[in-house]
Amino acid sequence: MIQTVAELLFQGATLGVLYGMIGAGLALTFGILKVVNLAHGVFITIGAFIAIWLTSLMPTVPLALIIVATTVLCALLGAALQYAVIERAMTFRDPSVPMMVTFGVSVIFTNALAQFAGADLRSLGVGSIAQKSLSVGPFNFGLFPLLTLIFVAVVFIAVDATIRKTRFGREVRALSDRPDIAALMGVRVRLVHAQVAALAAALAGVAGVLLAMRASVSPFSGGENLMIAFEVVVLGRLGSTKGALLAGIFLGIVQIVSLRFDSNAGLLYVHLSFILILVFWAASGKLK
Amino acid sequence: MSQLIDRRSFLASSCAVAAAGVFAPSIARGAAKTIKIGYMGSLSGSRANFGQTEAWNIEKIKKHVAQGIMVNGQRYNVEILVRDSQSEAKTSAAIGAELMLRERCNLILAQDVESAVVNGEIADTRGFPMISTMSPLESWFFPRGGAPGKPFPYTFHFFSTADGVLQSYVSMLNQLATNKVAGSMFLDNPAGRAIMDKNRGWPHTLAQNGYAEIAAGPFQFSTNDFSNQVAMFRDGKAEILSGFLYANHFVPLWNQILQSGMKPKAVAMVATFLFPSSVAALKDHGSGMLTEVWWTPDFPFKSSLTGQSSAELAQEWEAGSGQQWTQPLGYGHALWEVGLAALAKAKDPMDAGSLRDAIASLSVDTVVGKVDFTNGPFPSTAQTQVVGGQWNASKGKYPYQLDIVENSTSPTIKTTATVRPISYE
Repeated sequence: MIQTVAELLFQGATLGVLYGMIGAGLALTFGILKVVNLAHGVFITIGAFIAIWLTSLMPTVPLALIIVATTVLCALLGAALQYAVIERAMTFRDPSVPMMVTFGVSVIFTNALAQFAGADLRSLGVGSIAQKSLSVGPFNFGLFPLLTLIFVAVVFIAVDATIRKTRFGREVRALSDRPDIAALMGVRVRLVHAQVAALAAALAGVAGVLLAMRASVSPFSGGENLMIAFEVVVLGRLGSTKGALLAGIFLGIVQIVSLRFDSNAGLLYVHLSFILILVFWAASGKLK
Repeated sequence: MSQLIDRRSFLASSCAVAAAGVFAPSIARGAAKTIKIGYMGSLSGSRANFGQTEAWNIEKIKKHVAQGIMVNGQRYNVEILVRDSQSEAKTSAAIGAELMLRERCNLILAQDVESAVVNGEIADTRGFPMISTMSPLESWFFPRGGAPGKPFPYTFHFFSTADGVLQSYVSMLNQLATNKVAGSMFLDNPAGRAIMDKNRGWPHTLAQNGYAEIAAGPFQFSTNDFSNQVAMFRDGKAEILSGFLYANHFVPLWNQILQSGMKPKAVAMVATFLFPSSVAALKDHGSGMLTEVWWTPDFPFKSSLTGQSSAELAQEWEAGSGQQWTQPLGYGHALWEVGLAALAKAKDPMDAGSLRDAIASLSVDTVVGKVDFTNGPFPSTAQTQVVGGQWNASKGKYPYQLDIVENSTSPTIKTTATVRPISYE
C-alpha cells in the first residue's frame, strides 16, 4: 500500500513538473508583459518538433546539445515574434488585441507545422535510459522521470534567480510594476520585452522537448497544452513562476491519482479540480 | 505554357473537336468509352502509415491500364480519380459524394474502411458499386447495420476477420511457456471498444483459452501516463501484455513497464506493431513484439495483374522507395486486382447492376490470396487469411524483420521462424 502511494506521488510529481514547465513561459508573459499569449501552446509544439527534426538530421549529437539548440532557436523565434508583431499589438489599450494577434499566430503556426511536418504523432527517443529504474528499498523509481524532475527544478531555480538577483531581473520587475517610471529611468522597454518573450519561448521549447520524450506530440497538441498552461498559471496565482511549479505538481498528482480510480478519465479530473478551486476562490472572494 | 490561347484560336479548336466528335465513325466513338474508377484512401492524417505505399501502388496500376482494358472483346479507357480521406470522417464524406454524385464513377475502390462505412449508404441507395478493404470484416459489416443473410445492394468488402486476428494471437501465446496471466488495456475508440467486447472480443478469447485477464480497461487518447495500468499488471504478475493501442501510446507505456522492473514474456497488442516504423521507434527494445500478419513477402501468392510474386512486389517497392515494405502494400495492390477483375468479368462494366453482379460472383487469386465473394462469413464479404508474426532483429538493410511464426488457420502460408519469449539481455 505505502509502496503504491509513494510511486503514485512520484509519478504525479514528475508529470506535474512537466505541467509546471508548460505553464512557466505563459506565467512570465502574463506576469511581466501583461499579454495573454495564446500562441504559447504552439510554441511548446514547435519546440518538440525542432528537437525531433534536429535529432533526425544529426542522430549522433548528444541530447543535451539538442536541448540547448532547441532552446536557442525557440528563444530567437519568440523574440522575433515579440519584436515584429506582439509589441505593436501591445500599443493598443485594449488587452484583447494582443490576444487576437497571438491567436492568429497560433493558427498560422499550427497549420504550417501540419503542412510541412505532417499531421502524425511523434515522439523523441532517448535510448535505453528511458527504461532504467532505481530501487530504493521496496520503491521503484524510473530514472528518466527522476532526471526530468531534477532538470526542471534546476531550470526553475535558475529562472527565479535571474528574475530576483540580476540587473535584467530588476529591469523586468520594474517594468512589470510601473512601466512608465521604468522607462523614465532608462530601461529600454522594447528590448526587455523581447528578452522576456525570448525567455518564455525558450521555456516553452524545453517543455516541448520534455513532453516529446515522455509521450508524443502532433502539430495539433498546442490547444491541449495551452489549456494546461492556463490552469497552471491561474492556480499559481497569475504570473508567479514558483506558483506555476507548485500548481503543476498539484495537477499532475490529481491526474495520476484520479486515473487510479477511473483509468478512462483522461484529463477530466485535472480540469474538474481546476474549476472547483476557481469556484471556491470566487465564492470566498479571493479572486478580487 | 509559352503563349496564352486567345479567344479566336480557342473557338477554332473547339469547333474542330466538336466536328471530330460528330463526324467520326461510330466504331471510334465506341472505343473512346471510358470507365471511371474513384479511389478513396488514407493518404495523410492519423492513418497515413496505412496509405504510405498507396501512391506508388496507384502509379503502378495507372501504367498497367494506360492502354485501357479489354472487356467482352471491347476496349475501354480507364480513368482513375484519386482522393485523400485525410483519415477524417468528414473529408471521407466529402470525397465520396464528389466521386459518386459529381464525377459519377463506375466503380469506387476504398482503401480506408472509414471512407467505405461513411459512404456505404449513398453507394447502396444511388447504385454505385464499391469495393473496400484494409480492416477486419466485422469493422465494416456491423457499423453499417449488416444482418446475416441480407447482402448490401452495391457495397463489398474483403479482408480477414477480427476473430481470426484474435485466434492467431492466442495461438502464438499458446506456444510460449507463461503463467497464462495477461494484462489488457484498450484505446477508447471504435476499434478498441470492438476488441474489448466481453462476448466477442479479446477478453472472450482469453477466457476461452484458459488465460487469466488483468483488465485495466479502456483509456482516453489524451492519456500520457500509464503508471496505474503498469502497477496493476505488476501486482497481478502478468507475463503477457495485451490489448489494443497505437505505437505512440506504446512507447511511454513500454518505458514505464520496464522502469517498474517488469519483464513481460510476450507483447500481444493488436495493430500496434503492424508497421516496421512502430518497432523501430522502440530502438533496441523492438525485438520479440508480436503482430497479426495479413501479408508479407513470404506469402506464396502471385499478382493476377503483373504475375509478380509477393517477394517481387516487395522488392520492387523497396528498390523504388528506399523504404522497408509494409503490410498494406499487398492489400493496396490486391484492391486493384479485385476491382479490375470485376470490371473484366462484367457483361457491361459501365452498368452498375451488371458490375454489381460481377463482384458478387467474383473469385480471384490475388497477391494476398484468394478473394472469393461467393462464400464470405458475412453477406457481401470475402474472407482472406491472417497468420501470426514476430519481429526479430535483422542483419539486412533494415533493423527488424517480420517472421511468420503461426499459421494454424492458413497452413498454405509457411512459417519462417518459431515464436520465442522476449529476451532482456
